[in-house]
Order: sequence, then C-alpha cells, then structure tokens
Amino acid sequence: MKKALLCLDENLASSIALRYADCIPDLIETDIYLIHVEEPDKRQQAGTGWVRRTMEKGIKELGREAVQRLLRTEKVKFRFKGAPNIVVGDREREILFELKVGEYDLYIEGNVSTPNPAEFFDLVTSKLYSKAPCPILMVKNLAVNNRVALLCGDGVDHDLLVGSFLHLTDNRDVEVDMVFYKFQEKNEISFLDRKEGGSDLEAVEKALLEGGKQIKGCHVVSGTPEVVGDYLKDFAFVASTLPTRKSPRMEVMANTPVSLLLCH
Amino acid sequence: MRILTAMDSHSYSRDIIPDVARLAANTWADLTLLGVQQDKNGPDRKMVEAMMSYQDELLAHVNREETLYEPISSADLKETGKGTWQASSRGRKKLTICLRAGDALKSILAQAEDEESDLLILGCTRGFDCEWENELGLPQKVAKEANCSVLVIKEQKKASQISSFLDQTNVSQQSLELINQLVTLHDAGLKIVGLKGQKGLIGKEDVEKKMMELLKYYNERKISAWIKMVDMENLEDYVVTATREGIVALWVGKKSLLSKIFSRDLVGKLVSRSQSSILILR
Repeated sequence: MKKALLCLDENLASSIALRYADCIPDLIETDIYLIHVEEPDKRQQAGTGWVRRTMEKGIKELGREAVQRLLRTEKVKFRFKGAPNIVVGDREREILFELKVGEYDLYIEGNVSTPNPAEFFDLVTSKLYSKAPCPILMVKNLAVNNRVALLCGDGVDHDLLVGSFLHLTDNRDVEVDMVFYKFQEKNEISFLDRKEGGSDLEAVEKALLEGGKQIKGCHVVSGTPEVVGDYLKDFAFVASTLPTRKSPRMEVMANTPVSLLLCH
Repeated sequence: MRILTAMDSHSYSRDIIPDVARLAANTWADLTLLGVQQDKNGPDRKMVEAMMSYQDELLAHVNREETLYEPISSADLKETGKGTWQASSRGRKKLTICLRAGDALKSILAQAEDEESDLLILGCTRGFDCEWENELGLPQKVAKEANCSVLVIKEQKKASQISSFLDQTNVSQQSLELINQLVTLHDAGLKIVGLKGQKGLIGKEDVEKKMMELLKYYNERKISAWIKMVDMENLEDYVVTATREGIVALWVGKKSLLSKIFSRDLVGKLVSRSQSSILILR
C-alpha cells in the first residue's frame, strides 16, 4: 500500500482535490493522509515562550475547524488515514518536512490557477515542487473516467516518467494512452504518424507493456499548447515529468484543465 | 418553463427548428412560435404558411415518441390585440402560434414580456453578420434588450464545448437546466469559467462555493464539467476563442460584473462576432 499526503486549505482547489480523492483508489492503491498548514502572520509570530505557544495553539485550533468544515461540506466517501495533521508554520517547509519524514509516495494538492504559463512555471519551479521527494498530483478538476495519459515529448525523461507511473499504479488496472506532443503554431490539433514519436515512444510503449499496463491509444499530436491542453481534458490525469524550464510542453500542462501527475 | 421562438420567413429561422424541438421536448416546455410581420391589417399569408410549415416540422421532431403538443390550424388564429393574432393548443404542454405586426424588435420583446418567457430563441445568418433580413442588428438588439435568457442559434453544427462564464452566485435552477440541456443536445463538455482579477477570483468565496456546487451538480448528472480560470485582462480574447470551440453562455445577472464588462453593447458585439451560438443567461 502506497502513502499519499493531501494538503487541504479551505478553498475551491481543496474542495476539488478532496472530491477527486474518491476516484484515486481506482488509479493508485494508496492510503491518503491529510495535512493542513496554518501560516501565522508576522503579528502572530511575535512573542516567545508561553505567549507564543498559546498563540500557536489558537491558530492550530482555527486550522482544525477549517479542515473539519471542509470535510463536512464535501462529504467525501473516501476514508482518510488518521486524523488531519494540523501544523503551524511555513507552508512549503512544513509540507516538505512531512513528505520526507513520513516517506510518502505521492503528494496531492488542488490547483485552480489560470493557464498563465508564467504563473504555472513559478509554481512548478517552487521549492515545494522541485524539492518534493515524491511525485506530485496537481488536482485541477474532477476525473470523468479512469483513463490516464502519459505526456511524452522533448524534455521528458521517459525512463523516469514510466518508472514513477508504474510504481504508483502497479496494482491497478489502469488504461493508458501515450501522447507525444510536438509544438506547431496551429489552432487545430493534428494527429501525426506515430513514427514522428521516434524511438522514445517505442521505449515508453515497451516499458508500459512490460509493466503490465494496457495501452489504449498512442497519439502523436501537434498544435498550440491551448488546443492540445484542451484535447487532454477527458483523462483522469496526465502524467509527465516536472518541467524545469519554459517550453511548449510546460504550456500544455499549464493550459490543460485536467489534473497532472508530475514525476521527478 | 416557457420558451419563445422568434421567427421570420427566412431559412435561418427554419434551421433552428431541430434545436428548438429538442430543447422543448427535453424540458417539457410551453412553447410559443412567434412570427413577425409588417402588415398590420391581418395575418400575412406568406407568414402564416411559413409558421404552419415550421409547426409541422417541429411536431414531426417533438412528437416522435409521444404527443407533447397538439397541432394548431391556421383557421384558429384569432386577433387578440391590435396587430396580434394568436392560437393555442393544449396537449401535454401548451403550444402557441402568434403573429405580431410592426417593429420586429418591439414585437419580440413585448411577446417575451407578456408571456414571462424564460428563454427566447432566435436564429440568424451565419458568419460575422448575424442578421435578420431587413432588420439590421436584430439578434444583437434582442440579446441586449430582453429581460429573459436568450439563445441565438448561429450555426447548425455540433458544439464540442459549452463555456459558461460565472462571476456571481445568483444562478437560477432554470439556467442550470438550460446549460444541462445544451450539453446533452450537443453531447458536449462543459467549462465553468471563473474570472480572476488582481485580487484573485472575482466574487471570492461565494463564487468558489458556487463553482464547486456547479461542478458537483453536473458531475452527478454524468456531464463532463471542468473549472477553468481566466485572467480578467484576457477575458474578451478568451470569449472569442471559446466561441470557436462551441457555445458560450454568459450569466449576466444584475449583480454580475460580466454585465458591466459585457455592457449591453458588448453583448450585441459578442453575438455578432461569435462563430457559434450564444446563450445569454439572465
């Protein structure tokens, strides 16, 4: 059984992530633990000793209430492991600490930002994303089916992608599509011959089949990041390696409304 | 639900019948077919013929499995007011055929007002014109001026996507159902688009809650729905792009910022610039 950590705040992104958790067992065999980080403002960080401890206790209690409210509102069927872990401190630092100490296999958080590539780039190169010791599932929307896609193309470490994907989904009968992306300044999606995916695509296919996965489709697609991002919307999630530089593939990931499994 | 369909004797009015029929059948709506004419002296023969032919086509679509509407004969048309002739039938739901003489815009708006219509549907020419013959800018004016929701059907092609823009919480059950029906009719996906300003999502927590409710509402009905955020500064471009993919639905209620951004003039502009059908939800 894998271990996943889901970070909750009282907002739309967390509501979506929480409800998405209902479909995760079909895709990944995992226990899900909850964490909520309350970031005190400067005024609240003032003081030492008893004053500070009392202040932190109060902040923690507020955080606990917020998470309970969210859980009550969303009424998810999924049974989370243990009580939510409420922590006071810097969000990135506390989550990274928990991921390392708890030896998690997956970090999950909701995200409903705009498709602005610069904003997305800042997020995926943030300390939390780049230093996370496990793959990250960025939940953008609810899943409509159990099919997932592996987004391949230039800049993707295909061995790492397939390895992480197989590790997470090893006991699950997940249907996989391979999508190889080629940038083209065209507002319509084009499906190219699979030869255009080259040896990388063949290697991915071979590794997936060896890993016991059923491959439902293999598509070499080209178009602008907007149209290809939209094309991916029917998958439960799209897996790819964490982008480390700005590229058309990164823009596809920024644009797609579907959840992303970011491996690194 | 009360649907009013405004028609003239041109082909774009005939082209919308399959969509009107499916919407009416799926919502079990009371339906009025309104024909507008110039002659105030009596029902225009050409217009009456067109309306009867529209009715035949409509009933052939709607009454395939069960009889929802009973047919109306042209002889039943009676003057109900100055320059207004009307006849109704009572099947499972009420069907009305009405002819109004005079200014087309005023006639359509007056009928919608009199009937307290929930949805006003009209067709228009294709491309960047979106016109009615001899009635400059009529669809745009109707979309701007009507107090109820308006669906301008521009092309008879299947929409792959319905993009509905939301910046307020005042969303009626009927407008949700309308979106629901459009998604079903076109077998399309639904994007619930939120607007982000400099201080984050417009409408903040209330809109967040409403978006989540909508997402759940449609997902529970097995409708593929996605939330998408758009920066305010890119809104107009995004709307134009969305019209290429499918139908754009704008909730322009009184509290809506959209109604300020898409001022009534801009709603008209959007209707003419759109490459697909537009649904204005009020």
